[in-house]
Amino acid sequence: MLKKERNYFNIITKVIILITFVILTKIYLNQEIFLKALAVETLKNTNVFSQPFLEIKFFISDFLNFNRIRKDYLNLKEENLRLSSEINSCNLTKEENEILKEALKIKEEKKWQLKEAKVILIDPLQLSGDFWINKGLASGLKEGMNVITLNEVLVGRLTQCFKNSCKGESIYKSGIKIGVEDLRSKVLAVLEKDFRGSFYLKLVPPLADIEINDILVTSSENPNYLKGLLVAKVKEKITDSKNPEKEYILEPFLNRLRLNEVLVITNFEP
Amino acid sequence: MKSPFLSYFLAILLFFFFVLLELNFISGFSSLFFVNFLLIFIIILNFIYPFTFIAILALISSLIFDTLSFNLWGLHFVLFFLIIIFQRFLFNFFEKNTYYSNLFIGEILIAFYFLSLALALFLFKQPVFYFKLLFSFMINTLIYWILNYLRFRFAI
Repeated sequence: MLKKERNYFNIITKVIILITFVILTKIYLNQEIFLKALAVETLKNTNVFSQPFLEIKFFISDFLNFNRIRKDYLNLKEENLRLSSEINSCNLTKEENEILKEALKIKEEKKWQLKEAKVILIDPLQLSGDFWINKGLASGLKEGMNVITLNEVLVGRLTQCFKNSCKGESIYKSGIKIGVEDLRSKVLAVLEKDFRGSFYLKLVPPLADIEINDILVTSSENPNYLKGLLVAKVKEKITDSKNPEKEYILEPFLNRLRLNEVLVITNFEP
Repeated sequence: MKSPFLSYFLAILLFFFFVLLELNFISGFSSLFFVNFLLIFIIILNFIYPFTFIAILALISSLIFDTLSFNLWGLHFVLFFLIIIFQRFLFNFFEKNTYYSNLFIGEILIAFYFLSLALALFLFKQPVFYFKLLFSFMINTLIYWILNYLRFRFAI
C-alpha cells in the first residue's frame, strides 16, 4: 500500500515538474525583450568589481599576446622615427593652411555629435561578436547609430536599444561586409570577414593600386556606416593567390580584447 | 558532517564566481576557442544536488548566454534544460558516484552541447567557424576531465 502511494506521489511530482517546465518555457520564450533588458541591467549592477577585473583581463590578454605586442612595439618604434622626420614638413603645410583658411574665411566643418559610453559586456562565447554599452534610449541612443573608439576607429553599430543599455554588433561579427576606401589611392572595395576570423578585401577592381600598410576607411557606399571611419590596414598582399578575390589580408585597427570606452555618433541614423 | 545549508551556500558562491569568470575573462583568453565553465559546473553539480536547485542555476546560465551570445533567443535555455534532463535519464544506466561513469556522462553531455550548438548554427544559417566549436569542445572536455579528477581525488 505504501509503495503504491509512493508511486502515485512520484508520478504527481513529475507531472507538476513537467507543467512548471512548460509554463516556464512559454514565459521565457515570449519575454525576450523584457528578460534581455533585465539580465543586462542585473549584470551591469552586480558587476561591481568590473574595473579591477578589467585590469586583470587586460593583463591576461597582454600576457597571452606577448609576441605580437613586442612585434607591434618594434614596428611602432620604426614608424615613430619616420613620422618624426615627416612632422617638420607637415608643420609648414599646416601653417600655410591656417593662413589660407583665415584668408578665405572658411568655417570649421561641423563634425559628429558624440556621446561617451562604456562597454559593459561582450559575448563570452565569441560566437556573435556582440557587445553591450551602458547607455540606452534614456540617453538618446537609437538603433543603427555608429560606435567608434576614442581614436575614431569603427567599433560597429547599435542593433538593439533598451532604456539604460544598448546592444551592438562589432566588426568582428562573422559574415560582416563593410564598404571601404583606400585613403591613399581612393580605391573602393568591400571588407569581409571569413569564418576563420581573417579580414580580407573583396570586389577589388582589377589593377587596383593597393599596397601593404595602406589605411582603409569606410566609404560612402555603406548603408549602415558613416564615411571616413578608420577600419583596417593592409597587412599582406598575396600575389600568387589562386583565388583573385582574396588577394589582400587586412589587420583591423580595433582591438577586441581592449574594448572599454567608446563613443556613439548620435547624429547619424541609417 | 557538512551542513546542507553551507554546502548550498558554497555551491551558489562558486556558481557566481564562474559567472564573473565567464563574463570578464573567458573572452580574453583566445579568439580560437571558448570555455563554458557554467555548463561544466552545472553538469558536476547535477551529480550531487537536487533537480530543482540545478534547474534554477541552469535558468540563470541560459539567461546569461541567450542575452549575450548568438542571436537565437531560447537556444541555451532549451540546451541547458535538455542537458540536465538527459543527465538525470543517464543515471538509470550508469552509476552515479564513480569516477569513470561521471567522466563518461559528462563528456557525452559536453559533446551533445557542442553538436547541438553546431547544428543550430548550421540550421539557422549563422556564419561561424566550425573549427572553433571543435577546438572549444576539446578544451571543455579536457577541463571537465581535470575537474572531475580533482573532485574524486580530493573527495570534494
